[in-house]
Amino acid sequence: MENKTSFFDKPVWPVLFVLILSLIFVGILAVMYRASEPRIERQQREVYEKTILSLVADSLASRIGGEAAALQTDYPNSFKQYISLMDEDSFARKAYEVRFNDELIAYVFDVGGKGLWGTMRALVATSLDLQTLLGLNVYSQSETPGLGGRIEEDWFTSQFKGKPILEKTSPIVFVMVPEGQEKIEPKELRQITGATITSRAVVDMVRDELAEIAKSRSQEAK
Amino acid sequence: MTRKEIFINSAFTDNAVWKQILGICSSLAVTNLMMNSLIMGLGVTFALALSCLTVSIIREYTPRSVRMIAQTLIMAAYVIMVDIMLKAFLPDVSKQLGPYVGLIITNCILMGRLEAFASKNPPLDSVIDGIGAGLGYTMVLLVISFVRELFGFGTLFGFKIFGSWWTNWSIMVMAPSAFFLLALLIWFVNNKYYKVV
Repeated sequence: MENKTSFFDKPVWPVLFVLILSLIFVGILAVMYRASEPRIERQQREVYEKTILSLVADSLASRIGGEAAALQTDYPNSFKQYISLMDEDSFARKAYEVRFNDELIAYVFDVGGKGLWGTMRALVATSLDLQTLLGLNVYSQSETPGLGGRIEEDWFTSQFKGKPILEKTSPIVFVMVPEGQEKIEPKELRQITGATITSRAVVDMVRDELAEIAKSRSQEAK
Repeated sequence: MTRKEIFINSAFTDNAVWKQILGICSSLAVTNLMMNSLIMGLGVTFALALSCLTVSIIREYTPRSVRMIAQTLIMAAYVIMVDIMLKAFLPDVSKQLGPYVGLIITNCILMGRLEAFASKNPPLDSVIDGIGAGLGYTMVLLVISFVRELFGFGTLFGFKIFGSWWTNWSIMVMAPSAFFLLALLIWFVNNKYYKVV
């Protein structure tokens, strides 16, 4: 008698089924991923470079005699013209130098530290002697949305602009004041209500990283 | 059941959140801003509709022993597609939603609809069921995020509603408010429409 079991009832079918299904979907995903990869990378680089530009836009604009906003709209050209990536060994981390007419005017460092929930990364612009901050932007963090997550907001990061951060190579100790306080001393910083640890973590990250950079530089100079 | 009934049933009568109590995790996580909720809801709807379609088409050939593996695989593939598309075309939203898009895969609504409906019904009905369940879920997210964003930030979809006199309620931004609101919503709906006589 002939065996009438259909192919779909054979034990090999489930194995084949999963194999075929996996191949189809993995294939589709691989194609999609490859196709969108350059686009995603380009966007990420663009955001990153625009951030660097925004940090030093004011310092640059005052030398050029134009407006800071004009630099932003002129993005790909203005970045190439004034900002360049430095060698890894000059500061032992990712760093950019800002030049105007061959005169060095600022550094931008890519720094990292620990937040409340995970690591965070920020871009910090400093004067050439590393003593004063020109700007700060936290570009990657995993803090609580709406609380610690507000370290990305402008009112928080803009208060770092023009702050003295180091005395020689030792970090300055800041007093944290409430978020809404209008008047603020040079050694005070406003912290986010409901996010004390995260606020502190940002300040510590910037201070510690810059102190380390300054120390390694002074050792090299000796 | 007609197609209209299928839709009404999966979107309202058997709503995934307030009736089946599924997808609670993401309802709590992404509802602090209306924009995030909307994108998340549409992402789920999209992934769910397509997974339902695929699972329904291959239902005759799917061996019972590996049906769960197949469903998870199909779901994961569509969710990753949503993730890639968000990264490529809406990078800001993608950054805000963070890991939650990837977590659509573990959203029980998807598995539930695939196993309960799509694996037994024809493709078109399954798609309608999927869209219904997805939109029902989106609706709940929007209701919760409406309250949370309005009181937590004084904005709706990022537009200022309350003036500078408004003091933001931090509790609305944090997780506890989501628990309260979701519980209130479930209690209200069940009390009003599903009363056991």
